[in-house]
Order: sequence, then structure tokens, then C-alpha cells
Amino acid sequence: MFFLAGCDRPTDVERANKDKVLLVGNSAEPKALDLQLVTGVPESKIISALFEGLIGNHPSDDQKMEPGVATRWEHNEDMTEWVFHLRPEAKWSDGAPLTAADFIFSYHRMLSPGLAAAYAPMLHSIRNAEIYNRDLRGQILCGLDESFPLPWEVLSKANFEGVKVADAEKLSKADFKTLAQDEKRRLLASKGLDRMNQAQLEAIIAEPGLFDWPGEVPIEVRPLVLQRLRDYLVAGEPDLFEQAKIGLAAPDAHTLKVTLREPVPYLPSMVRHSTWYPVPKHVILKFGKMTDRFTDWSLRGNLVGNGPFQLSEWRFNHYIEVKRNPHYWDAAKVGLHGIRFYPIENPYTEARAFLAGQLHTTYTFPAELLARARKSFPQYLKQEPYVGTIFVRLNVTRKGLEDPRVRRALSLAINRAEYCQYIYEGYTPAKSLTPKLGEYRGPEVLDFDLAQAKSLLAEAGYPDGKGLPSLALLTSRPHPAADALQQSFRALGIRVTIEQKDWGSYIAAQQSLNFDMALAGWIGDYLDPTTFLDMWTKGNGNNNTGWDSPRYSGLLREAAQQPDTASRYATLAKAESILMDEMPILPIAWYTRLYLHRPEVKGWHPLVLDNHPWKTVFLDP
Amino acid sequence: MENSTTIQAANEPAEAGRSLWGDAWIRLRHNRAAMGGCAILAIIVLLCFIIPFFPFLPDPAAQSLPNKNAGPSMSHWMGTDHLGRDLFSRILHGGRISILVGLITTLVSLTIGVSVGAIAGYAGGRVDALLMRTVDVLYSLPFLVIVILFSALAKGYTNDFTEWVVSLTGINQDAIAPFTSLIPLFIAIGALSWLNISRIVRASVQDIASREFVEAARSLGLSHGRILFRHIVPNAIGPIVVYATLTIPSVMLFEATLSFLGMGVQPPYSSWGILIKDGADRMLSNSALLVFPSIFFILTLLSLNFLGDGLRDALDPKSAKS
Repeated sequence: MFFLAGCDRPTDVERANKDKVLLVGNSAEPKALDLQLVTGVPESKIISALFEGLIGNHPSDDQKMEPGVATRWEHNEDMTEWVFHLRPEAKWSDGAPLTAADFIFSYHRMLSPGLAAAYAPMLHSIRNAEIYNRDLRGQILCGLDESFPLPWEVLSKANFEGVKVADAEKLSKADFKTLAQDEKRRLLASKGLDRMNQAQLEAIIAEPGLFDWPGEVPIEVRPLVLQRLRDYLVAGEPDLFEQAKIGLAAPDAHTLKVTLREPVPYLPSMVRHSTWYPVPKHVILKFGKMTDRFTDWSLRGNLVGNGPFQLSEWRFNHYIEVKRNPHYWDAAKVGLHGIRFYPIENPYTEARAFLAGQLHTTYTFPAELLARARKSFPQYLKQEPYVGTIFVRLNVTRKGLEDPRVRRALSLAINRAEYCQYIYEGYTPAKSLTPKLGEYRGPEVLDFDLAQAKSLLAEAGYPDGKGLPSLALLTSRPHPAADALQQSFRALGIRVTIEQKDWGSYIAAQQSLNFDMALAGWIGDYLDPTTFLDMWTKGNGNNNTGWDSPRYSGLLREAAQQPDTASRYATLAKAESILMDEMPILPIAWYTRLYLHRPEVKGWHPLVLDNHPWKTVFLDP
Repeated sequence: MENSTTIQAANEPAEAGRSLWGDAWIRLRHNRAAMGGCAILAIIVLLCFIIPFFPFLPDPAAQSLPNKNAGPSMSHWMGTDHLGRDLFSRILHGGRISILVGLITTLVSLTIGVSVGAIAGYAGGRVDALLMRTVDVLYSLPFLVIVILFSALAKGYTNDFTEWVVSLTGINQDAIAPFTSLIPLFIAIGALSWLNISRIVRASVQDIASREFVEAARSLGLSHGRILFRHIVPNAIGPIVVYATLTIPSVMLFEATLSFLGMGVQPPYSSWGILIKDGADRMLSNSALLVFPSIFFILTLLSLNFLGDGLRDALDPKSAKS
């Protein structure tokens, strides 16, 4: 009897169906749930259940914009001024009203240089946001002040941002006062006016010869600039948000006006990303200063959101559970009582858990098992288009990898067609970084040519890999592609070790440039190629390669100014060819979304960005 | 004078004398399970350490993606894995590492354990109390966590160490890297797995130290070191040997656990633990990847256990009388 009863025990999924709880495989334990600090897909899946942006995702069409906190929005003719009308009934999950001021606080926090949010550059298209975010204080203090005697166009010729100087690092470590005159000059030039400390500014005020000014800046203006920067330091570097005149305004509690520095036709699509979500000011300030990173505000019991669900349980390395948010404006339409996110990193384990009835939908599915799945459980297998690229991120500050010829040689050693046939089955061999996205086509340049790779390596001074140190390939989980890459690079004589770290350390190692190579993936955040291209610029928190190129960022700036989509795409493609020539990253394959999914999950449709709005999902066993 | 012959006869042994080891060997020979284990073990060790020198065995790291998950054939006796590497070759090369891990860490733990146990048992008093309380403290530490922590910390240094050895000896890096990368593992497991053996040895030594022959040795004026390691420890060898044969499989299992957690041997090198882990992931697509390494692993563990059981019976003089 007992044995029989044991056999009939319902699976997790069957029990969850009764409770209307969706069981979701979510790959990794989130690093945190502060939406302004995290960058990973696993985190974003949970955050999109807990928060909601101005515009929501449509359940079946990525191109369609659904109202979110904003009921409607309009823009001026050249798409540089956008007005979002917020719904008056919008509330935080603790019942506090959600107003336009909350959005302004959120974007203020996201952009504040002290927070150092990796995703902040996604807000740079707001007027003056980049200046504030990058803490270009000279421009804010002098350039944006209309009473300043010299216009910024002229003043900006001065060295504010610093120039490259060979021994800058050594010089900055030494005591400034002990340096020789020419060493002082070199150090100050490398710092630029924006990054000098008080003693250095005062040294120039006392001895103007220490700093080179362009002829356009009149001699009488120079001390004014120095004075303003010095006074700012003396005042204790107060927040410059107000003075930066950022293009954000709230004419009333339920209207948000966003002024952009350039036309952004894809703004609604971009606004759907978590970067543009609101964060609760009243909760964040309770647990620390606005710019404190990783405070307790995003823990269970503290976290307050505005999404269809609220955080109800967080069992470390076991699961995170969210339950319905009664204060959500559209709570009546939410089809689930809750969602559980399981951090199962190993995709094979995840597949077994799914087949054992422990999950409704998986995070991914190993391509290796595709043939088996087609034969044995085709009813669960989903294979859908996906805007994403698998690539190897290179740390170009490491010995050997600083040479673009070595990086190109590495790229040429990867047989992408073979990888996609046997490892990433069903994926497309990458021809460039950006996958096919609307009308945009990147340069189709990536190739496999071992002979050329070898000659490039020899040209760079490492014939047959001799002289190159062994390189560590960072992964977040064991992956056959890592072994395959090891073998591919071995063919060039380059020794590669595999270094495996858990998700949090894997992300942290890349952000601190503490790695050689990393196997990585990037999923588009909105429907425009800039979601793949914008991040490879200087100071972008998702760059993590140490690479930047003025020519590249110049082309991106140029593209941003072009209102016509076709010519903008052409400029972006030019920029991408520079990226594919310099190779700070080695694209391998373009994703196909492969996962297992139970048929009783309804309201779930293929989406190329894979941002399924949780509120429309329901269970119908 | 007539007595002389009888005296001589009395000096002659009534039957040929047999040493403890001779007795044990005879008893062991009659234990079929132990002998079978011994034979299988010998075959596996020979396979792992001899066959890889023959050129007909494919390179275990050579990938051939188009030929992945192939079934057994003339060129690949056990088929190929998910990256088209020869499975038989990988099992043999992995076996070398698994067996070495088992042997070396057991040696490390025996050296420490026997020394500590013998000194504690022989010296008694404060020394004994101090050593045994240290053992108690070490017992309370979570073994797995400590080993993982230590391997993670030492990982950075092992690469440097490998390069240092290469620069010193000029050996091909590929040949020694799989072994040098395991040194932290050897140290960590060895340094923590001697606790049981030290207690066993201490108990035996305490028992033996009160026997007459030790008294005799002492009255002859032998030094403590000589008494301990020449007269006492050899008499405690039975339990030590038995325990060693049981430690080897448990260490191999432990290496498998660590590799399963991604802390053991680094790719492309493998051990049986890694092969089984990779095979378990892919059992849906190619069950051979799980089955073949498991067979080798299970056979080795079973053989060692049978051999250990046999040795225990053989070396226990009391069991001989029954």
C-alpha cells in the first residue's frame, strides 16, 4: 500500500499547477536584486516580475509596445522630446504612490558617478546625462554655466579628460611635491583638469607653466576654470545633478518629460529595459545613501517593487519565490499566484529536473541533447529565434592580447561552422557581433583560416605561440565549447587553461578586468543594433575588455545623430567593421533560443528578445 | 657428550618457521575474492600505465567534432565522447590520475597519521593529550569545505609551480601539468585524511608498548626512536596496511566528488571522476560515456575493497586460529 502511494505522489509541477505557481529554471543564483547594479539575464528575469517600466512588453510581439506605468506617450517631430503620461493609480508594492519624481530619482541614481552602474550608458541619450554620469565636472561647472565668459565649444579644446602618458601610473603613485618639473607636467597632462586634486590645481594656479593650454583659451579665462574646479573640490565635491541640467522634468506628479541629446526612434523599445525601471526612493534611502552599492534594500522583507509580483521568499542557492502584488494596477489580469526561480547552473541537471517534473520551463537546453529531445520528448522542446551572440571576451590589457594581430589570429583559429554543427547545434555561425536584427546587417567578415592565423601570430612575434604566456579561459559553468576553444587555440600553439567560477565571481572578475579570456554571451536589450555596439566604448560598464577606439566611438556618435534609419545602420555597420578588425571580442555563434517548456503554460509566445511579460502567463493543466 | 646431538636437535626447529608475512600470504592465497581483486587491480594498473606508451592509442585530448559520439570501432575501441575524443584513451589517462591521486594522498596521510599516532601512543601523557586533542579539533572541521577552500586558494600558485618545474627540468609541460595541477589536492586531502589512521595506530601502539619484548628492548638501552619505529610500528603494520587499502578507494571517490564540483583535475586532462561526471550529464545522448568509465571505476573500487578485506583477515593472527 505504502509503495503504491509512493508511486502516485504528484510531481512538483502537478502540485504547482494546482497552486498556480510557475516553476522556472533560472540558471544562476542572482548576484543581487538591485536592478540598477545587476547585468545578467538570470537577474533580469526575476526583476521583470518585481518591477515594471514606463512601457511594458507585449506577450507575443516584440515590436509592439504595451502600456506599463505610462498609459500613453508622445514625442515631438524630431524624436528628441518625449512625454510619458503616468497612470495615477500606479503604486509601489507597499502602497506608496508611484510618481514621476520616482522615475527622476531612479535615473538620477542610475547616472550618479558614485553608483558606477554598469548599465548607466543606456541612459546616455538623455540630454547631458553622459556628462553627469562620466563626472566631466569641467564641462558642468564651466560649460553649462551660461554666465561663463567663454563658450564650451572653445573651452573644450583644453585638456579636461587627460591624455595618455607612458609613465602616468608610476608618476601618480609618487608624492606630487617630490616630482621634477617635467614629471609634474606629464602627470598633470595625463590627469586632465577634471581629475586633478586640490594640490595639483593649486600648483597650476601658482605656476601656470605646469599645464599646457590651447591658444584658443585666453589667458585671463584659465584661472577662472582652475578656480571653479578648486572651489568644487574644497566644497567637498557636491552632487552636480542639478547643475548638469539633465533632460528630465516632471511638470506634474504624473507626467515625465524626457529631453534627448539626439533623435532616438527606438526609445520606446529601449525604455522597456530594466535600466529604465523605477526604484523606490523611500526604501533605498532607508538602507543607505543613494549611491551605496549593494545595500540591504533589495533583500527579502525590504525590497519594494512596482511589478505584478513581489518578493516573498529568497532561499539562497535553492530558489527565489515571488507572489502576487495586490497593489499592482493591473492585478486583476495577473494569471499566476506566484513564480519560483530555481538557480540550476548545469543545463544537463536542469533538463533532468524538467523531465522529472520539477520545472515548467527551463532557462536553456544543451544543444548536444537536441537529437535525443526531437526523438523522445518533442512536445516539450522549443527552438525559437533569439537576438544574442556567444563570444569570447578578451582582456586587451594582458600580455599578448594587447596585440590586435594575436586577437585576429585567435578569431581565425575558431572553426565556427564546425562549432555550430556539433556543439551549438541549431545555432548560426557568427559572421560579426550583431546578429540579424530588423534591417541591420553587420559586416560579414569572420572566417576560419588556420594558415593565416599562424602567419599573423608569427608576424606579432609569437611564431607557433612561442613567447605567449598561457591564457586562462573563464567560464561560469563547464561547457564543451570551452574544451573546444582550448583545442582550437592549441592548434596555434597557445596554451589555454579553463577557469570555472560561479556566476557572481564570473561577472565580478570581468568587471575588474581580472581575467584573460571569458566565454560570454550577450542578449539584445532592445530592438536596435546599438544594443550590441554601444557597450564597446570607453567607460561603459559592460565593455570589460579594456579596449576602446576613438574612431569607433566617433562613428557611434555620428550614427546617433542620423535621423534616417538606413544611413544610421550604414554608419553602425562601419563602426562594427572596426570592432571586427580590432577584435577585442571573438564572436562565435548567434543564439537560437533552445529550451524545454510544458504545454500547460499558456500566454507564452516566441519572442526574439525573450522578455515574456510574467503577468500574462497562466497555467491551464 | 652424548647429549650434544640432542641439544642440536632441540635447536633445530620442529618444522620450518614461518614469518607473519608468510602466514598472511598463505591465508590470503586461499581468499578467492581478495586474489581476484588483486588480479583485476594488476590488470587495470598495467593498462593505465603501460598502454598509453604505445602509439596505437589515440591522443586523449585530440578532438574531432565530426566524429563525436561514435560507437565502438577498430580505431576507437570504446567509441568517442561528445567532442570526438577517444574514450578508451581518456579512460586510461584518467585512470593514471585517479590511481596516482589514490596512492599519493594515501601515502601522505599514512606518513602523517602513523607518525602522529605512534608518537602519541608511545609517549602518552601530555604529548598524547595534545596530539589527540589536535586530532579532535581537525575532526570537527568540515573536510570537503576545507579541501575546496584550499584547492581554490592554491590554484593560482599551481600554474606558476608548473612553469617553474618546466623551466627547471625542461620536461614537456603537457606531460607534467596534469600531475602538478593536482598537488594542492594531494596536500589538502592528505593533510586532512590522516585522522582515522592516527587513532588506529595510537591504539595498537599503546597495546604493543606494554608487551615484554618492548620491555626487553628498553632494558637493552635502545633509544626511543629505535624502539618505536624498529620494534613497535612493524608489529602494528597489519591494521595500517588494511586501512591503506580502504583509504585509496575513498580518496579516489573523494577526487571524483571534487572533480564533479569542478575543483579537481583541470581540462583537457581528466580523471575517472570527471569522465563519470561528463558522462552523467550526457547519459541521455550517449550512455557509453557514463557506462565505460563507471565500469573501470567500480571494478577498481571493488577490487581494492576485496583486497583490503582479505588483508585484514590474513594479517589478523587471531583469525588464523579460528
